[in-house]
Amino acid sequence: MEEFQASKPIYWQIVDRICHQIVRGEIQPGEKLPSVREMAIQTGVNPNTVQRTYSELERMAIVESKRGQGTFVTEAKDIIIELKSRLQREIIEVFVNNMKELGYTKEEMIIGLKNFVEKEDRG
Amino acid sequence: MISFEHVTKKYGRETALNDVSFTLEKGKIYGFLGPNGSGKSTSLKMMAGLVFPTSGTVSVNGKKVDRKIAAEIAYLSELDFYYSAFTVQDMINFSASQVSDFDWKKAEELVAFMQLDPNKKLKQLSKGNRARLKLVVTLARNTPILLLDEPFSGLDPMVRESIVKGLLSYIDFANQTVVIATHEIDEIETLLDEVIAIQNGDIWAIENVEELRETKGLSVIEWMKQIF
Amino acid sequence: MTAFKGLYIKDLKLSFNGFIIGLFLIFFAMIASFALKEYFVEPSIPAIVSFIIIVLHVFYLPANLFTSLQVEAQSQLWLHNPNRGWKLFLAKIAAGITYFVASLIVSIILVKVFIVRTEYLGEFAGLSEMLGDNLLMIAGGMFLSSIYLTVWLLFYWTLYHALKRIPFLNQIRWFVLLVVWLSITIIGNLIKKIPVVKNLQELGTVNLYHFATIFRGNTVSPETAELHLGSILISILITVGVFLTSVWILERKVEV
Repeated sequence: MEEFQASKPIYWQIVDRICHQIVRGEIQPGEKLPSVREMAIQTGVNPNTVQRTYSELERMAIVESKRGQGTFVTEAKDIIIELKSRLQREIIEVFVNNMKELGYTKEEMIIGLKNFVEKEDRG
Repeated sequence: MISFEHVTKKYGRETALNDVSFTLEKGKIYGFLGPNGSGKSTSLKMMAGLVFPTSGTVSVNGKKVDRKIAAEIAYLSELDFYYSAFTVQDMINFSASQVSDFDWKKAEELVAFMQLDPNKKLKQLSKGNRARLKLVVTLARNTPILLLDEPFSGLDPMVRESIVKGLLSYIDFANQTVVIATHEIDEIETLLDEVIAIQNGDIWAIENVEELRETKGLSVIEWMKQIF
Repeated sequence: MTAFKGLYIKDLKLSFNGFIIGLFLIFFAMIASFALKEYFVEPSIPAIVSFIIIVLHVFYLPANLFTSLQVEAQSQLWLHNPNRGWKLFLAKIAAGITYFVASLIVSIILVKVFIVRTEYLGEFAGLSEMLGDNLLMIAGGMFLSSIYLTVWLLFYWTLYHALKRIPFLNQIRWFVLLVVWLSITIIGNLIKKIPVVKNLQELGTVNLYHFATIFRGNTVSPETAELHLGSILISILITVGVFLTSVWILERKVEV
């Protein structure tokens, strides 16, 4: 059973988790997702909520449900690429907003980010 | 569909339920939440036809509830009551004989799932295993309505988890209405569609769990802290 | 398995211990009676004891039912059952009768083996003859009286548990039962005095001459040997009425 944040709907938190797993490659394109019931048992979440998660993922075209077979992650590369860049955008957005709030300029942000990444590369 | 219309229950001067009206829809999981003595247990017993209102009407699918409702409702009591001469298998056989909707296959699966020994006497079982067995015979019935009164009370985390998993695995979500009365919200928060907050015999609020998070940014526990 | 069979087996299991204890008591009483016989050099003691054992069986069924009902009363969760109240009660009565008959048969065998063959019974010779020749009749009569007592027990038991939901009577439930019992007894006696009822009771009198001659000169008075079909009919009606009333109270008034 998994932990969930209080401030966001649970169905949305599961959508997020699945998206992250797809981007990380833990779930491959074309792979079958667990059934609603299985997913509910894994996460300890009400199946109605899981159903909502799957509907949302389907609406986002990240998964496709095949009648009688289950729900599968899309094989369309453009959608996966779009998902990747969306997640990136989201993280950058949070980062940028936090920096702005602390009063950093755009240039300072870019320099700081550059230094940080290079330092990490050097070990 | 379960509905309460101006239901009051009095025990002498004490009021267990005070002019309560609400409706529970088919195919949802409801959490009846409130402290001990808030009236949630009384409400469940009324739905099961085991306690009668002093005034007002309790009805299930349009029919006024009486003891016959047991054919449509599986009720799990909070009490650790059992026939001490029974074995696990005796209890299953007996439960199966009393109702027409008993699903033997489901019962067998559940016994295995809960890791119960069919030949063990009930008095030799731990309290946790007896609670598991209670859930087995309740879930093995294919009834439109399932009422669980304090299914976690006094049980260790292992048992609680097996009960939650049992519920998730064996409830027929599209067709069964489930009402869980509890004062321990942690275990079931993610399980619920709707929550009903009850205190001192009054219904304080009925809310959709996901909506609470979406519109108020609150988990059920936080919400409960706010309203009580 | 049918619902009734399921209930019946459950009820057999509920009072199995009581049955075993009952048998032990009977054996113990018999053994004690033989010990007393030796001690007091009074050969009739086992005969008297066995007679008492058989007569006490009138209370066997109500006692058995009471213990069985008390198990259910711990939670009253047996009421969460789609089967009707009469089925719940009848299954208990059926289980009780099973043990009642078994216990009675054991007792009768003991009587046959130990008492009737006792060579010297002195002034209790009549008792021995009675036990020897009319056991079935006595057992049958006791069985019917037992049923009659049992439905009244059901009635008072359900009433007692129904009163629980009325808080101001809850504390004085035993007193309420006493008042109800007194009222029923007084009203019953008044009804009995109505001439029509009296006539009805004496309707269809059957004289049991054979039975009566055996006891002439013994402790059993000749009237006992008269059977009134009218009063039997009335008893049957009362039994059914009290049973149905108990079922009604159980279904409508007893809460969990």
